[in-house]
Amino acid sequence: MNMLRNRLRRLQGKSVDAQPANHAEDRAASSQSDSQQADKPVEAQSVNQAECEPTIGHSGTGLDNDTLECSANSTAHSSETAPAEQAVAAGSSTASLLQLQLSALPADEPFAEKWAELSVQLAQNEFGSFLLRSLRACGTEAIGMHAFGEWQQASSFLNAFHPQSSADPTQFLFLDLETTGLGSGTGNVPFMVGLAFWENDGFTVQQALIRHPAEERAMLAYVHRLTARFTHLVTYNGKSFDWPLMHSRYVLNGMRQTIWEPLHIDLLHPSRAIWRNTLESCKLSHIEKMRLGIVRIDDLPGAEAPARYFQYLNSGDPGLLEDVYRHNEIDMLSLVTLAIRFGHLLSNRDVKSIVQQPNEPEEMVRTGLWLERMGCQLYSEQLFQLAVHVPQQRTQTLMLLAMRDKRMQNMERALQLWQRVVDTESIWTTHDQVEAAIELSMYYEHKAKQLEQALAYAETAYERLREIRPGGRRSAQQQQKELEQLEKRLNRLKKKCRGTA
Amino acid sequence: MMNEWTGKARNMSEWLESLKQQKEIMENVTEWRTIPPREAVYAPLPQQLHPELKGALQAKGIDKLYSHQAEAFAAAAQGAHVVTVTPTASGKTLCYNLPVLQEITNNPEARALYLFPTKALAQDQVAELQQFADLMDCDLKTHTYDGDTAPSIRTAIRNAGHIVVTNPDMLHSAILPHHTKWVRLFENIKFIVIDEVHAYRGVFGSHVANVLRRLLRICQFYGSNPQFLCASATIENPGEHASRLIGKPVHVIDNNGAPAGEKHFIFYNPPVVNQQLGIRRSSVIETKKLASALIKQGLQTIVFARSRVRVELLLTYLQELTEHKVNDGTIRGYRGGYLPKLRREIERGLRSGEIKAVVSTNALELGIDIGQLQACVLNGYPGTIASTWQQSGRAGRRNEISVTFLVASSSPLDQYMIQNPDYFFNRPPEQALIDPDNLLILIDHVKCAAYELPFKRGEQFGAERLEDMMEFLTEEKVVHHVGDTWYWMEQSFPAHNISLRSAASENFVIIDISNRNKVIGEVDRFSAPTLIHEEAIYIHEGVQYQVEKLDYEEKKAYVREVDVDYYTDANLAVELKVLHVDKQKSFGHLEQCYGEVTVNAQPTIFKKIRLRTHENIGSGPIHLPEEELHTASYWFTFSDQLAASLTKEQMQSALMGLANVLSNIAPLYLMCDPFDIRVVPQVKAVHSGKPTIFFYDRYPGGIGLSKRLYEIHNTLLQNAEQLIRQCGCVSGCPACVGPLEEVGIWGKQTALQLLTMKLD
Repeated sequence: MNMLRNRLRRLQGKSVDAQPANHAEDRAASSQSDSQQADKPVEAQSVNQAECEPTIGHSGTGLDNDTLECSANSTAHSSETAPAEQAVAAGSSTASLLQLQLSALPADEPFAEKWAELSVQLAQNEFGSFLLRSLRACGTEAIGMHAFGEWQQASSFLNAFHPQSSADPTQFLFLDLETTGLGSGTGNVPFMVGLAFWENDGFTVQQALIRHPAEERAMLAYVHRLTARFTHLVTYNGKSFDWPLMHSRYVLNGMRQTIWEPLHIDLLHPSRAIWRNTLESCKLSHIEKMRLGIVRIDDLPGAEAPARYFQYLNSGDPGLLEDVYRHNEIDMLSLVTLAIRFGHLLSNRDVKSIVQQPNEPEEMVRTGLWLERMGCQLYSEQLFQLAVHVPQQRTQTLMLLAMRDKRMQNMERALQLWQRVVDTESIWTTHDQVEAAIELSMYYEHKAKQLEQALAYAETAYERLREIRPGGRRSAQQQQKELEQLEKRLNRLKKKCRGTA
Repeated sequence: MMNEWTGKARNMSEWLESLKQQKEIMENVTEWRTIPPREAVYAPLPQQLHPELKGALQAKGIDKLYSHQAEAFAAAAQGAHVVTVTPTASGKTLCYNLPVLQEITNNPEARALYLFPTKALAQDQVAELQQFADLMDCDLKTHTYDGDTAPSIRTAIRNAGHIVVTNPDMLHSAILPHHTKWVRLFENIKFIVIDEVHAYRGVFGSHVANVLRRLLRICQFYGSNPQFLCASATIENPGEHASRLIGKPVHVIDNNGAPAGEKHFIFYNPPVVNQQLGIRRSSVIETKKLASALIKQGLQTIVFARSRVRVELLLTYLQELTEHKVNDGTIRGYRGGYLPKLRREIERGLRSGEIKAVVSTNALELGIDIGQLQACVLNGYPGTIASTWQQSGRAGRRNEISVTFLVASSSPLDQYMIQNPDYFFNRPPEQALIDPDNLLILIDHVKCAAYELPFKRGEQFGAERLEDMMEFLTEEKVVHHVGDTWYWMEQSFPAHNISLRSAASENFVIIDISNRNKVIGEVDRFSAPTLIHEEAIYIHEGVQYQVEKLDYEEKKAYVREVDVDYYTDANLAVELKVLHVDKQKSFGHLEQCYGEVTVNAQPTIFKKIRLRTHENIGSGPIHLPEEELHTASYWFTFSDQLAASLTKEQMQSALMGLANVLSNIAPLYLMCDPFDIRVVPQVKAVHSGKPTIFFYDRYPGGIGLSKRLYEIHNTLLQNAEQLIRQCGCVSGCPACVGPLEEVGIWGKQTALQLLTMKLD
């Protein structure tokens, strides 16, 4: 073996390791503990063997709390930052229906106490074992501007994402993965699956963790069975990351015949639609800070989670994962809070009843446009009105709304907005001003048939365009082309004016 | 008869006759072989051929097959892995398309994966398959899947494509690592088609063999066991090569039944202009002369040159022919560094006939569809018999006479070929060599494979023990061991850091700062130190550029258009150390060895060489970092006794002369780029103190070239001796041991002395 190592080192132009033997011993020690773990019921099964047959029946609403070992006594895991952590491992999921046995980690398990401190339990099913941490977040609690209890009301409006659906608050599953790498390649393993759902007047947050990759199958089987009771999946960027990755993991583990096909609500998309230009980033961690009032203290950056997990794999010390657990937990609750916010927005009620209104005109207009697309005209028009009445604002925002009004045949306001853009005083002429003048010129030429007016606006557009120095995204060539087009317009209008005169 | 007004012959045979009358040409022709036309050998359409397919063939005007096509169909039907060996334009695509289409018409769930070495070849293939589909009126979904495929249709291809046409690089970095998205393909894959298998040799081939190992591992995971259908140009070992590549025994089909027109193969040796120094007239100038004559006759002509620089030189010269027509685009260049769009345009122009002549590197040697041309001029021996036939095959329309000129350069290999025509016409082409178990290449792909699927104890991947490799990767902390399984546990995506071809991922881009920083081309990392060092003259599409700045870290060369009357040529200094001897033999005064060495290489100076006269008019230093290489080597050593019979200076010239000869004839036995193998003479080798000549593979760990040379040691030296003896020069020339300035006046004599005394 060392031969191979040395041969490779030489080929790679590295100096040959003088004492590879020590490495080997270290390794032998740690792989021994690996195999000890593997001797337990974990026992990895060949990946291409039998398909996973989910045999769970319908999970009724009547929760069977007695079947669960409520570790209510082990509430004591510290941290004041997240109130959610006060309630623990509530008798939530009907474990028996999920064919899952929960128990404390056996005392002879290395670091058993530390696991208990983290309120982590050993979960076992016929595919093996993994670890499960369950928390409760009561309806009266909050980590940001919205109490979790608002979900009861807000959730019904989220049906707007899938107009045919009429889910009740308990039918939404929130999901967020912590993975060992990036992208959806087959070597990227979700080592922690964060799940959250509403039950018994509060949220249950479950975090499934695998102690090593051979436990993945048991964890997936559990998630698979759990998902069957929900109709909706709520994620952040889950359409392109979390869910395709789960899909890939099911295929790899031979479970693809029965993959759950949820109505998926990926909150990244509406977040982008609304905050694209008002927030510098549409990462959940940024949005929650700027718009949901969530403050994380000593949060582990998500990108560092894989490295922590690899350290854990080498040492077995659960303490290394504490920050990962907390990071994922806040991600889950932040996602819930964001979902509540979107639910409120979609409630289509009077503006003033909304807890937190958009505060920048750009955000108001973009929120309005999004709501309009989602079928909430009442609230969107209120937002447009609010935006219009803000005195100083970016021409870009005014144009956004003006183009919407043009499309919706609200010419009166469109004309006012374009005029405002043209009249805006600023040090540098913006391209919006040129465009607004062209729009006005077109309107007066074709609709109002006032050629003199049209000519005047075209001239304004031409002068404005000549004030703009090309640069940035617009090349000199483009500028030249636009000037030529405007010249044509001017000539045509002049000719027409002469013709009618 | 010839048109007296225009000087144009009415057809090829008339022109060839007139050529025979031209004394100044004929005195340089050393061989004129006429290869008679070949009649087609047909076979009926197979009985079991699906009626739809039969109908489509008939609609294309095909009511019988060539014998090799029928044999390929039969062998595939019996479940064999097949490799079909055929020359250019012999209907090889039907050899694999028929079995595949037969399977899909019978079973619409069946899938096939086609691999071509380049994107351009893949696109040609899809067009042909689509034509079939239209004729059969069946819902055959064929699509290319490569870097150019729009994201919007990728999902559809993954789920519904019957035939997915791609390249090994895409398979390696995009398909295999995401195999869970390709379930439909991998579960139902019946055939893997690999065209141009001869192109998968050396480092690239060794990588591709490993990509195929990964592919088969994934197929097995999904329960499929595909059959391979391969096609190859004529090489000596198609069966052995294909079998090493796919890791399975293959059925070889090489009874070509396609017809061919009469072909004239003319060897042309430029006249000697200085007998004493053995200097011949430039092959570039002679090539230009012959190509001009062909182009003036209106014959569509392809000129092959061995280097990019030569392509550009010849293009510049030939475009002068059209100068009064103001560069009308009828004479074009073609080589790797051109951007894809330009290349597609040139290919189209050749097919339509708008382009009358093209000057190309071996980039056009592969099966890119440019139609059949009428004449071919090879500037210099292409390096291998296989390439020579491939390139010559570009000229030759059915039922038409074609002509190929081989214009020899003064290199020993060219001179050997031109003086031994029987060697070329009677010998089988070279072997394609790969070493899929090169440790560095193997371990790279073991990583990718672990990323794709966990490894189980008892699995086999390549020649090394899997457990050893896994233990190594566990120590490196890229896999995690649990029970009897090793799992990938690292953040990276290994395929992204592994390029199948040195040139593909590590290209230097060439930026023209005199024209709005436009990217005008690319150079692979291998060639960069000698082609685009600062002050080098880089020629692109006939235009000269001087390299102003080379950003080695960022892999960018900034050039400015210039108009100078010289080009540049760089030198490389090499230091070499023996690490380990694996094999050893001695005969008489000679000991031959095979083992591991380290090589330190550094470019030193460049020379400025005047255009047309090719005289040296100046030089300058090159400042670039040294590169270290650990690789396989074959070397032989002369005894002290023999060394004592020569002075140190004599030994120096003898070894240098011998090395020159050997470096040129070694490629005779290896199907490799001349850059892939290097020869270094040392009067006192560091490890033994004895006069030694080293050969080494220019790839870490070696790819089997030196090993092969070690095996054919005796033949190699015999041929070296024969070449030196047969050379007409007095005391060494560029065609044998090298020019006098380099090897001194004893070079030829002492080199021969070494070779004759070695067995005493």
